[in-house]
Amino acid sequence: MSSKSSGLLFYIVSRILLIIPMLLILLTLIFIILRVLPGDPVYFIVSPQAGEHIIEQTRHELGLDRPIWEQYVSYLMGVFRGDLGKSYITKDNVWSIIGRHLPITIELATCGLFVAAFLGISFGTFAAYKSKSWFGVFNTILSTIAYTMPVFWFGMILQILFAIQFRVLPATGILDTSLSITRITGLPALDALITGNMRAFVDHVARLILPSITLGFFISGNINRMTHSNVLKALNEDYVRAARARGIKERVILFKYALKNSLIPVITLLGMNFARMLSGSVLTETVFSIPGMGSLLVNSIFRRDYPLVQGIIVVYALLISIVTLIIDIIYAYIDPRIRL
Amino acid sequence: MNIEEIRKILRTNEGKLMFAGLVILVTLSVIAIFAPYIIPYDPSKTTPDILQPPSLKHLFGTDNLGRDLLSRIIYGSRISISTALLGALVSLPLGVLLGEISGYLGGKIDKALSMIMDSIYAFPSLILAISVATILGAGILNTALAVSTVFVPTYFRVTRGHVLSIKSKEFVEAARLMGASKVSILLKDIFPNTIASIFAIFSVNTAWGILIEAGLSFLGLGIPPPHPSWGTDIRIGRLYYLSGYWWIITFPGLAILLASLGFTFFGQGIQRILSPERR
Repeated sequence: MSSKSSGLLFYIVSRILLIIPMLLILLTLIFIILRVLPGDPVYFIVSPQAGEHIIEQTRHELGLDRPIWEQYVSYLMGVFRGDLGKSYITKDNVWSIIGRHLPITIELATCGLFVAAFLGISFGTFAAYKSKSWFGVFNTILSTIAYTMPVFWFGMILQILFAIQFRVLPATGILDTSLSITRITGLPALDALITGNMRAFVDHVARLILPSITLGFFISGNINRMTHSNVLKALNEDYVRAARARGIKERVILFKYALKNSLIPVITLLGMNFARMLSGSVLTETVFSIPGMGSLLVNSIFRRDYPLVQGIIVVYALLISIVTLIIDIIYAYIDPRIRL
Repeated sequence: MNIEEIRKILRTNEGKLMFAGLVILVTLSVIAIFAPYIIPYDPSKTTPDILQPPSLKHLFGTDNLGRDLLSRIIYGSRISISTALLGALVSLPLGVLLGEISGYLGGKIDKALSMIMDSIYAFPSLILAISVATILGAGILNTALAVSTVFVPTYFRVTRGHVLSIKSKEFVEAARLMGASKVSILLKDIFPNTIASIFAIFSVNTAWGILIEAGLSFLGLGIPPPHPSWGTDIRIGRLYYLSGYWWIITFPGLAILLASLGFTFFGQGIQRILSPERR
């Protein structure tokens, strides 16, 4: 037991150390894209028509006239000190702006993840069970459509159907304008529950349904395919055939034997889809007017709020590194061979 | 591979889907190439018939400036597909070259390159493309470049994996014993064997490129308005679809779905056929 936990601890520590190069690579990539590629960040703040004097002055204020390696070092130092600068537009601290928007994206992503897991695992399992019938082919096409569909378009189609045609769900926003939620954790649903604001909770949850289905269906494609092929493989394994020979019911075989053994890789796949989920959330938030990180990114690009754009992308890099780490640790916990 | 084998593959579900993908791709290519001769109306000509629902006169309806949507979608196929193809093509040499080198040399170079590529691969592709597009500005070529940055790691991973699996094979060993140089082994023995899987990933990447271009254009960071592109049309429709003008976004979206589905079915079909389990 003690050797098992110390092995896991060693693995966790070495994985945390490995996160540093990954983060450095991502931060360098962001620096290269935002500073080294052709395109002068000065023009994010002043128009190219502004006088030479103003352009030079702004360049100096931003430190863009310093040598590139000096800019790189001060950028890295800033990130590691936790200083992402101030917004050009609102003059607020970039961290505090992101702090207001991040929880909303996390809430949406979590709901999307549940929808994706539910859709992917149930359809995938059923398709494997019925692989000889038309449902097997139908499911292959359905999962590929989920994977290759323009996610923003799917969201708009859902809005047309459920908000315009049938009028059962609201189309946009996260809360009716007549309602408000006192901010405690930043997660609107949780805050509404804590403060006992049931009207706001119901309204907010109703508004989360369509965006969650949009994001969830988009992510479900991968999970569906993997569940489908894993369960299919498991159904042909010796232990399943042995169970069948012993006269165990088909339903028990499917859920207890085949599905259970197929789920470990599916769980990791859910984590690996985190990056796709962030991509999808940028578009989903735009379509449904949800004030999360994705909307913030798009809006700050159009307002040319350069420090905010950079800060958001840095936070995305941090999120990706942390989630990758967590998945690796969970996987090592489930499957001890990884630690060796 | 002989005809009998191809027949056998086409009888499986994957084979049928791959064939369906090929049919979609050929149809779309014909439409894109002959677009000027097929379109019923000038795609950029504004008319007083604004926001007309689908009818016999305008099969897909008209947009807010009275432009015929069917004509815009037919013409838009040129820009949407060529931007995606260009994006998938530009990144190919770099990704493949690095993958060949990394897989063949191994050691520290391989470790470092793999780590860099894995980190980029882990980053959300659309957000990476958004960052590049923001700096380069809107435009067809810039959008293709923004799309292409996303693909370097995908080519790298596939090529590297393939090189690793064949570099210990006898024919490579034989070339080495005969005194062939590393460059010559890479070019003459290893590279030709990776072409098929590079082609498969190229097709899958193009599907992805269509989606990224559509996403960028929808956000207003991709193809600028005078050009008809599917994503741009949906961006235009965004102001109207919630007021009941559903057709402006529905048909361009279906076109995006169809094109990316075609490239995906085709690319995944090739990947399956090449996979070692099948051999």
